[in-house]
Amino acid sequence: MARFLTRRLLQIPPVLLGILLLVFFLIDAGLHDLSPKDLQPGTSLSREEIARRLDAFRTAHRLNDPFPVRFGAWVSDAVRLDFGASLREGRPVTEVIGGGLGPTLLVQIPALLLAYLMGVPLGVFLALRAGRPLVRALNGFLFFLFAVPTFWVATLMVIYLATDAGWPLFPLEGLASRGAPPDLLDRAWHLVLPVTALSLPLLVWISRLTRDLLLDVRASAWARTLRAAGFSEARIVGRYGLREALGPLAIQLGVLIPGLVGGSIIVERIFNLPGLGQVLWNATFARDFPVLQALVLATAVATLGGFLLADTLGRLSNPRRADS
Amino acid sequence: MKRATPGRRTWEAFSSKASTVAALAGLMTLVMVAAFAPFLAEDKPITMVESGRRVWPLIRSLGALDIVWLGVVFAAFAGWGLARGARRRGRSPLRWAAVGVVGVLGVACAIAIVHAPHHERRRYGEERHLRGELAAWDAGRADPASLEALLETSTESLQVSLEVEARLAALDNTGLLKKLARQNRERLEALESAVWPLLPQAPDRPTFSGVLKPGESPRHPLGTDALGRDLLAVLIHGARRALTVTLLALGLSGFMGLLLGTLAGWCGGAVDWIVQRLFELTLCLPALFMLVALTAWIPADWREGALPVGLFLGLLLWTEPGRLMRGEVGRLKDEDQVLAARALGLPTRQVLTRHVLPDAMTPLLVSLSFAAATVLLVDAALSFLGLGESTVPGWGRILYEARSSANLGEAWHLAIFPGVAVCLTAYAFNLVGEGLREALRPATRVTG
Repeated sequence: MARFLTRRLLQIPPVLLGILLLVFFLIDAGLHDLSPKDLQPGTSLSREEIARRLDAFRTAHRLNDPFPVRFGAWVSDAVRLDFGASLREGRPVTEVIGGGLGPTLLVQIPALLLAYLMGVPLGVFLALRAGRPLVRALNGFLFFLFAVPTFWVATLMVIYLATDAGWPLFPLEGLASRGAPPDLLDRAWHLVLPVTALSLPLLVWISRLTRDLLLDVRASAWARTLRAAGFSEARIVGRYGLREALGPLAIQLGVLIPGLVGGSIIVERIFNLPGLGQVLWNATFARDFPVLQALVLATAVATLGGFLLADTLGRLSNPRRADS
Repeated sequence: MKRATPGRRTWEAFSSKASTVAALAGLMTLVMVAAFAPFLAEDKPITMVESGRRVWPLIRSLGALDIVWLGVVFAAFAGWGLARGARRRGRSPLRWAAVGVVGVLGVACAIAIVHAPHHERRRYGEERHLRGELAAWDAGRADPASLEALLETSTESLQVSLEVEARLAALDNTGLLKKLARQNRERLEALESAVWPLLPQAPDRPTFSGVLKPGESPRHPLGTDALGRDLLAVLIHGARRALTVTLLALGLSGFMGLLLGTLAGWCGGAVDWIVQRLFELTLCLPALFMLVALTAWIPADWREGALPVGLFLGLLLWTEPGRLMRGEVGRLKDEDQVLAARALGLPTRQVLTRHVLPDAMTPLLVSLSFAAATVLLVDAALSFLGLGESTVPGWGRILYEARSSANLGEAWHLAIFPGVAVCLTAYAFNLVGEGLREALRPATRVTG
């Protein structure tokens, strides 16, 4: 295990360096063609004043230094989580991003939990009863759901479950009712639609994966041996098979993170939640490069961490697996 | 009796399932719809006789993308035909197919480059704008100068032109009246001789009718959106955007994956290590997230249209085909037939192209058809968010309109039809992928 971890950890620095270079290159290219107009929208300053401000801006962002110096300084700042101030809001970047993290996690974590808690049992059921007409139909339907985009489901939900066009059972947008005191029930009520929309594709993915893994188990030689020894099919699949499937399922957790990040943009746009997706969206169209840079970096590093976690979990759950 | 080549056996296994064949047929139809979109839904006549001359308004108005798309379809036909001919004569079908595809596509691109700057933007039957001028004229500005101006523009719309004629008759301005009457007669004859596209509506032209539901107007079978654009025309042209992005992204990611994956699998060692780190680096950049973020760096005049979206998606999605190729090539490298080919001293290029890649290609095909569904969904999401949009809205964008339009829920057709289009297309790609996978891998487990 220790050898595996060292080898795996040694693979991180080059990738991290690549990410840092890429992100830095992007921000750098962006900052260089920021014009004074971008600094002060609607300004009517004198030419000297603009030149002075631009110079101050260039100095503050070290744009007059050579590339390696800038990169080094930026990395040392980034390590200390100092990404400077948002060009749009003036607040520190970490504060802007920290503000968006809460709502995003509030939707993501329940969605992920829901997907695993419902997807795995569903997958077990599908594998155990494979071949029956009804299960076959259900399986085909799940396969179709693969092709259903989150934003469509969310849009239909908003139109038919949150407005007068259908049954206005749920709130249209936001995290909490305006003006009301913070209330757990109210929060949960606001989260129903976004969490459902976000977890649906994950649920389909996890249940299909569980089913495939368990079907492989049922066809394996050791399952045949257990069957011959008189173990019931439910016990083979539900107990020993599931243990076998745990590794790949855990690996999925790391792999799913990028998808969740993408999904959060859509869901937060549709339900107007003040999360990271919205922060990204606003920063993109305001060309707020410090925020963008920090966000992309944070996402990339989180994903990298997810992969590391997935590999470690996979290794822990099945030590026989050759590391590749 | 025909020889049972691996390809033929795969095809037989693939085509034994009705759903996969239906999906494949559906996708091919969609490609045809995308290629011939202007002939299916456009507001210009394909051909008509104007002042005794046969003119081709639709053909003259084709832009670069239209021509390239037509080129893609004809190139596919040419490649298929040449491959069949080559097989009959015992030549290499793959080489002749490549000759056909590259040749026709090259000609199409050349025509597109030469023709595109001169393509005609004239509108036909544009009534709305003219009616406004007519109303202004009725309001009291009946001076001959504006009349002349109106005459110039009214050549486009017969209906308005006839009304102008009626007004002129009342004014008793014989010179203008004669001119207009002649013009109208000619236009009437021209329009009577006109052959229109199947649906004479343009996807990017507002009619200011507001939201029309399906069936409310016989001219708009699926209704219109909030700007009065015909929904069916928008969907037909939206298929083109979706497929453009999909083909571009698949082409680029497949090519990159093939190249880097083969390199990593064949060379091993340090090269493999570097390519593996590149995999991880790319995987760390979530596609949708990166595409939104990258928008800030793309100059505004580059943001429109499918091209940047397709290329960026291709750059971000090459890891899956790359991983597959790496694994396959690494596995095949030590197989007997490859070792034999190497022991015979064949050049590496030949070993790779003749003895390794043909076997490694099949998993790549499976992975690409699943990737197509992913690309399509991500592209629809981007279009929903309003990225990479041009004057013709994408499928996703209409859905966004359904969410944002003032008459939420009134416009159910805006929420349903584009969503169904996205779903069915992605589903078809998935079905084809699944069918291919099952055809290529014999069943080894309990089927479900």
